Amino acid sequence: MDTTYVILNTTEITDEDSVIDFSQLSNRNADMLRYSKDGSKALVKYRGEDQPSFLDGKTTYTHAGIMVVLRDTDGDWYTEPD
Amino acid sequence: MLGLASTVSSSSTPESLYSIALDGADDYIGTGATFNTTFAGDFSISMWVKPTWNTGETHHLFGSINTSYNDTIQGYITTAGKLIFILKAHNGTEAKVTTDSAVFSSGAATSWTHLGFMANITGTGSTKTALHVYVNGSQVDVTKNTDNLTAALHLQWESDQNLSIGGVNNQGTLTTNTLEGKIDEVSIWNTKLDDSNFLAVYNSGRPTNLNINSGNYIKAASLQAYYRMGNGSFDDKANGVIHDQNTSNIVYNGNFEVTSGATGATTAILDWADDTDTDPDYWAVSGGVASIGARESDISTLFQNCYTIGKTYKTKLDVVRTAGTLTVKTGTSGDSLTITSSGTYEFSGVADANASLKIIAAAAFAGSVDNIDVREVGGGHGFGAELVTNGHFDTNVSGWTNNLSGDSTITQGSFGGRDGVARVVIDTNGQGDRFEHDITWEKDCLYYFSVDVYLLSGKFRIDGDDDDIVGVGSNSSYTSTNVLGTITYDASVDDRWRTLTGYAKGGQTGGTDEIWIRSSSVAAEFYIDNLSVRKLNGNPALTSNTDVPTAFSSDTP
Repeated sequence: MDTTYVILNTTEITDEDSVIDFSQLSNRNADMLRYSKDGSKALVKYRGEDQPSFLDGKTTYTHAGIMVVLRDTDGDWYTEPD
Repeated sequence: MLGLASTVSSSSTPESLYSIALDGADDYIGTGATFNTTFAGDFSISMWVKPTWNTGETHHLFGSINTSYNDTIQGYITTAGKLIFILKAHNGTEAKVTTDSAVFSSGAATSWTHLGFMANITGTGSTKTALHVYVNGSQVDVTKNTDNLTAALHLQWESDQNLSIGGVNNQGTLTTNTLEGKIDEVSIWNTKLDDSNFLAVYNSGRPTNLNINSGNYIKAASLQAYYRMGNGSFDDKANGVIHDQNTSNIVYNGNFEVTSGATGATTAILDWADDTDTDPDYWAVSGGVASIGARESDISTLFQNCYTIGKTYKTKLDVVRTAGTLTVKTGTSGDSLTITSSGTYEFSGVADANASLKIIAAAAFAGSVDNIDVREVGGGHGFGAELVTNGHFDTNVSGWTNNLSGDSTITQGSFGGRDGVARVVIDTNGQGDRFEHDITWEKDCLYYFSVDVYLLSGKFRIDGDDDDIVGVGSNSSYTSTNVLGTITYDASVDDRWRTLTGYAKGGQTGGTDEIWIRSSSVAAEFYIDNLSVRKLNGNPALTSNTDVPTAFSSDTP
């Protein structure tokens, strides 16, 4: 089974009425996610063919696709090491 | 009582059954420990890696950056396939080295590489800390990018952030590219490993059990953390919990290399005491061993208060006997081993109320002891004591109180083929009711939860108070207090007993030290039994964002 990645706005997770159900994701909880440099976006993922319904309509990425986004040195996610 | 008076031999067994695969996007392993006392001195780190690295990418192997950004440790693969090792301490001055040559070639590695990182305080005051990098057991040439970390500042290294493996904990968040590839056998020592030590750890490409000294590997006693990535005792691949396999020697100066500086004892053997202190000291240190000659009548005991009462320890020592009998005991009336000939001895015993390792020389004994090594059996990993005093509900529901003033009830009785269970009814008027039980939580400690539930209607969940614990099990949902996830009545799986398990991490020490059982804003009826909460010993690490258990790979060094 492949893993599918989805980029969410952080507020979709932190909102009091958030519908994000971590029991349907490969992620443990919001504290342990990877966030964009400015903290406004968060990366979540799920395994298998069945997309959790709360992710309907979201752009999905394969592993290769998300790595392009994360490693874009001009993008929102890449942080230059010390 | 364990079988005693037996001598056994131990050996180093090459083994590595699992590694863990990280995706390079957001997978990492949180150690739950800062390693402050370790990194504020000489230290060494060892790991095996098999990256899928491509030119232009950076992959972080380990790291933490504290809130002030002044105390950091990082190791990573550069865009050119070289290794960088950084240690920044106290006020931000740093040591940083880069390997002169590339260690990795672009593309998926086809073989495992052993990496070693070592920091050495070479002097005092303004003397600079030296950073070293090892590849497959050999030290490689490095260029010092910066060389400003003094011994005085290094000794003050202190971080408020836990170390991550396969990524960097940057002030509490993951913001850099993690390792893409496999990693195994991550080890941390609070001492420098030299060339021969690292070569022995590499062991021609075959990982060995680092809790056991073997050949030129003589640093087992200095091991501070040892993550075997799936094949360690109590490792829980289903939930991604990796237990620290370190079982350090708890005896100080067991090799008698230090002969002076004793505190509170008249003996000149550091950290050891001699019960004949009021008489002439019979035990003496010379040439790195503790020796004693035969006496006319005095029994003389060398001892160290290293035990915890009631725990089990494995003791190992070398004995040279010229005459008489030597006895090793786990306390005044604890288990004992009688020695009447020279050799290497190992035995296990339970510490009694005296809590001292005693090496008792009969009056006729003449000889010496050396290389005394004592390790707690199961002490570095596994589960601690049960924290819920009445989770069995065998006779009553004492210890559980209703926090709110609703009409909900908790009663003891029988149900579903079991005697001694608790019936909980959450009334419509008291949907927010919860039943509380006192527990003391500790920040960053991991806790294992287990409960049998027979849900008849509504919902069931287990919480801690806000910020006191954070659910981390595969079933946990986002809400920071929810441990096992909210279980909603489902006729296909409920109307029967089922066991729920999961983990949570301590969010703070203190606060509201309680565990709650409750519904979730709806009326409910359920029975519960065998509610158990136990702290995990040692420094258990936790996989984050990984697809467990599939991330555990049988591809190993």
